Amino acid sequence: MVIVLKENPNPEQVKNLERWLAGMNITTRIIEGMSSTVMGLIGDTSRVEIELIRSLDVVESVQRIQEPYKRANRKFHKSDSVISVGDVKIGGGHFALIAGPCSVESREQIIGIAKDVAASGAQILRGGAFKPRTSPYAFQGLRGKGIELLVEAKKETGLKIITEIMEISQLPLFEEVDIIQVGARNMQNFELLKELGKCQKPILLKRGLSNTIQELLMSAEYIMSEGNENVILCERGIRTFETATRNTLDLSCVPVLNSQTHLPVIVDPSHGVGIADYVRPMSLAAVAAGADGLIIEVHNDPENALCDGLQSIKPDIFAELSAKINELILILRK
Amino acid sequence: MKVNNKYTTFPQSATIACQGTQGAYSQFACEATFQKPNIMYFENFNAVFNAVDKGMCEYGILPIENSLHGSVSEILDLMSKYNFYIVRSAKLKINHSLLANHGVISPQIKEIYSHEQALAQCSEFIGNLKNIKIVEFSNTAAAARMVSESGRRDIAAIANPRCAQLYNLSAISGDIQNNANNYTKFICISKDLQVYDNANLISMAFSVAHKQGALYEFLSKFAERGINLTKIESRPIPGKDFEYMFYTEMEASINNPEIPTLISHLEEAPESFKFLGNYSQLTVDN
Repeated sequence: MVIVLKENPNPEQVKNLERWLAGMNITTRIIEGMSSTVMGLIGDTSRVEIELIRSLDVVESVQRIQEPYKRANRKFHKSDSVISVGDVKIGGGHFALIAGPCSVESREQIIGIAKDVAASGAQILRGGAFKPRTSPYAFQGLRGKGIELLVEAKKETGLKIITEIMEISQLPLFEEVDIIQVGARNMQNFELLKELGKCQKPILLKRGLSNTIQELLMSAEYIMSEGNENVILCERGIRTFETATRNTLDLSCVPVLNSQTHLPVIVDPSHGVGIADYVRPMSLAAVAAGADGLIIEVHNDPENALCDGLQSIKPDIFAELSAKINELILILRK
Repeated sequence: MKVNNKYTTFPQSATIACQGTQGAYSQFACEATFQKPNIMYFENFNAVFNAVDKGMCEYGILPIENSLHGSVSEILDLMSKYNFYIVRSAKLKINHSLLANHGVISPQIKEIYSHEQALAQCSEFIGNLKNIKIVEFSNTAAAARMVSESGRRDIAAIANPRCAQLYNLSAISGDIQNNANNYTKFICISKDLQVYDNANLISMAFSVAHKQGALYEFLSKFAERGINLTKIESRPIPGKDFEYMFYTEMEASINNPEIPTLISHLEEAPESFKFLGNYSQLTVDN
């Protein structure tokens, strides 16, 4: 439920209303907009009588929110959320370019790629340390050592770093990581989401391979309900009957999410198509669809990559793509 | 009749529902009734009853009668609809002022906004002004707020002079009511019957059959016991063909053992009868 308050509402009257709602186990959040003040209600509002609220002198109007997600809902927060990662901003017109290898393999590899992508305009370096692989015999990542190498690359290049967490006991290792990624397979690991909600680090939440948009938003709600509102959503392809690509990159989810949530939306074309040649067109399509950023796999030696080499593009291709993305952003802003 | 006191003495602080907004006469009545009221404002009288009914507020403060213009009939009707009780009353002196934005002078004013009762109470003052359009508003203080927020220099509101400071307005004229002795009686209502110390007034509502001497017979029960009737008035019962509900107030207390017995008898009688409370009244020269 959303309560739109009258202009310059009397603070005492607002407090009284909040106190009454608190007595019904409903928490409130005040969102100061440009022209109006909105009070968002979270909890079981089915017992709240709309007419009673509407008859209050401080209240302009009341609207029930049908959707099960509240904090993530755009009705709660009209303007785009801008997530700050140090001096890098994501969302609300700030475009973020994230690039790097699927996994961190060695110091030389990660620092080399970091330098390349930084030179091409990426602001954030990606690299898996803990790898959720389909096969237990496949490369599982350098784990703690991988994070140490990412931190070295961060110091060397000034790039922010993002890497995936697989379970909550790993959290202490993420101290110097700038954005924690929750992978597609963990999107509905609710205990993990709740724990991440207790920290204030930005969380990049990937859509599960068989999850709906609403399920993605409900997972974001899990993190936000614990107090961490720094959530970035990521579309990375969903499983369909089509086998020509690794997944089907659901770009239609970008405008849908942009209308339903205020959270930034990032697209991962690399996992979305799984084939390096298609990364470029789908990257540009994602920008045109309204994405707030891209996360692209870049490898200096894709043929010998320990993970997902097929979908990784080389640094020179990334440089050319990055320039094209910037051109496209300028055209779209006109 | 079952007394269900929530407190041993009348509470000093509680969450109270009032109609209007800050600066309404209800606020002053409320502040006179409670030492530390926590007031929530509602847009109309029905909402005040509803807020008490739903437990959002513990009590409600409502105007019931004005010394110049009689009862606020809507409140009487709502009292029957909700089956609430009066736990206290306050007689508040009403002083009206004409308020406008700073620097505005009387000849500039083309429209005056206020509550219909306030407009009626100042009819002589308004009658002396030329070419003025009168606009009824939900509440005197809400009218003052509207004048302030509009920034307009051709309108004014009739409200309590305290609204001038509250809404950044100037008082063009003060004490503009027709009669200096202008009082409004407010009642404090609750869902349960609560009777506190020094309660010396009883209110009740009843109807009697259309037959000779029915009303006389009813009232004689009180007269026989030496009880002074301080008010009686009638309201048509909605949906009935000129049948009436009578509202009375009398000087009595349920501490007099005869009274509860009498009330029990009346409650069992075939005609409709409703005990509306036993309370004390305070007078406030605002």
